[in-house]
Amino acid sequence: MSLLHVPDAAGGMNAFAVPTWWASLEDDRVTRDEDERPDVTVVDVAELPDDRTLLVVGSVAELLAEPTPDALAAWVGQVRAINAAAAAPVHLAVSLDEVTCFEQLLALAAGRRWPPFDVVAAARHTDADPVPPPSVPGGQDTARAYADALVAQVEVLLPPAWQTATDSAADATACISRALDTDPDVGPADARALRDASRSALAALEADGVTISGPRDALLWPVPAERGLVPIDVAADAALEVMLAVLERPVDLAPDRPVVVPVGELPARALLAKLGGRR
Amino acid sequence: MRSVALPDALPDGSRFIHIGLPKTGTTALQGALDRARPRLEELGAHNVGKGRHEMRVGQVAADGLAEFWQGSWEQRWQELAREFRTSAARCTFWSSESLSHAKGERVAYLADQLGADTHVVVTLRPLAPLMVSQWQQWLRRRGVQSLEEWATSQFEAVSVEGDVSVDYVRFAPMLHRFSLRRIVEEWGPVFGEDKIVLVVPDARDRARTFRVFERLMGVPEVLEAVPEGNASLPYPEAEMLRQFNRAYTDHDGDHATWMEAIGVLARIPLRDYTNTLAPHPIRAPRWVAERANEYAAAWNAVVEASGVTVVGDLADLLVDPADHAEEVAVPTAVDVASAGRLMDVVFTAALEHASRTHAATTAATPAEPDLTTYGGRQLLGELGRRARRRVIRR
Repeated sequence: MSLLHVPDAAGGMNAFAVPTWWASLEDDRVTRDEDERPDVTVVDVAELPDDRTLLVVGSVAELLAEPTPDALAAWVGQVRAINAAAAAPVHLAVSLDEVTCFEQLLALAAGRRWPPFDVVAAARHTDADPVPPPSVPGGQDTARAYADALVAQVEVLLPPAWQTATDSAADATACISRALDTDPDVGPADARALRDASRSALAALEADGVTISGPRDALLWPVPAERGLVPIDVAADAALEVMLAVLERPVDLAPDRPVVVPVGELPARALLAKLGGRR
Repeated sequence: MRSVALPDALPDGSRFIHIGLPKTGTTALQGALDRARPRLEELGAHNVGKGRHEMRVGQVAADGLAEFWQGSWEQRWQELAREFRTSAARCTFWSSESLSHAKGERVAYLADQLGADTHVVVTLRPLAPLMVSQWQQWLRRRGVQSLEEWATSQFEAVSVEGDVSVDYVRFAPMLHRFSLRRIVEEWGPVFGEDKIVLVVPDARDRARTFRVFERLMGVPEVLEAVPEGNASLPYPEAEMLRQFNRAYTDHDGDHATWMEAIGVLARIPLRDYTNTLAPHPIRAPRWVAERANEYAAAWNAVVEASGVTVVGDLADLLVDPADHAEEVAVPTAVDVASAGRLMDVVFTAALEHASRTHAATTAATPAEPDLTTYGGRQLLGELGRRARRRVIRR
């Protein structure tokens, strides 16, 4: 049994961790010691190999008070302070979705991504069952070019394999989209400097023993495309995240995603049984 | 050294292996040999390789198969070797640049397996552009150094005199593997220097290598260029792949996953992607060209003092440094659509890799198929198709 220490919401981190959310779980594994650590909730977790302190964060823009290197340094200092004072090493889980359930919290604490994703079903989609391009917010030509490269737009039925493929395509498109979706008040040169600084900051945190999971590219400041060109390191970071988003997902099927086998691959006896109403 | 413009035909009953070197037009040559296979057989020239190139078989033969590859290539190698040494054809040959991995005792092993009277043909290329191509190839093996960093490390690993200063077990440093000195000194005593043929390319006539091989085989002009689909990555995309490798390595990504997802599953998509891009050739900076010339000149001196046959002019293996810029700017930005398409390649390969991994781990306990998404008409249609197929087969 390991202990998961979850500091209360502060500074854009652990935004979910408020008393009402914990109370809504009604779970015996959740405890608080108001005398010893009044700002930390502790969870007994069987699945974790070691005790850890969890900080769930969103994108870097949500964490900084202002888009400056000083604000970035202040955030890094805050994480370091928590890491130094915490009862267990800090694990920084990047999640672009709000934490809404206990299962999600445990997945993030274990360094896994959420939600579960059926890679087998996603890989099974074919040219005859294509995935439409995900919508791209704003006027991002780059992200749209990526989406166009990813999939062809055709009206199709919606079997589960299609849905999972759609999810993965949307994730991939969101990744390049956020890499380029910079603050209009931050010029390209400043954006690049902030990206370099945030890359160094993550390396420094890891050197301090902080572990990081999830879409860590979201913690790198976005950089705009200029004259149809995107900085190569930004493109590479996004490509890596696209790869990791697939590889690091749990491969377990989500409860609402049944195993769908192409009808041509099913044994005849299964088809006959189904026709006979025995399933 | 015996220098000829074109070689004579090998005697009837001869056998030869073409051991590369890599990135010397081997893909084009192997494609032409494969396409002309029926005609070559009619003319008495027997190619023991299947398809264009049995790379893994060549790697097994040369003891150059990386550990993460799993397969039954050893058996195929034994079959191929037996066919090669027992062939009754007028001329028998096998082309695999993987054979140039062989060193020391493995060269003797090849002679034992293939026959010590086998001729050894080596296609060449000036070292400076060859190094650029090798750097690109290295990026496809998860390389992270820039061209100049990589070139520096290569020059440091092997001296002009041929001294190797790095430890290695299986894969020799590039400047050792590609060294003509090494080929003369390691392959010459085993097969005989008189059995070694070095082919220097003619920059003005790219089909000349075809003519050389036709002459060796004693056949008329039957080799024609076939579409290769083997274009090099333009410099911005090569840099993007390098930065991707860097990011993957910084993330502590494991090599086996990279090799299966990017090295194998993305290989063809990467090739297709490359073939659609606007060319942006990569040129070595002048200092690399000058250093490469030092090595090439030293190797040429060894060749001139040997008993090997050289087809063409050894001087063509040197480049004019004046044709190379002092400094070559490294691209820092890439076309947005191109970046998106690379991500598409990576995404698809990762999906396939994850799917395969999942399938492998769950193979022992296959999930119960779900039939709820299929209607009765669909099921009846499928059963009808199967019944028709069975009737047709009868």
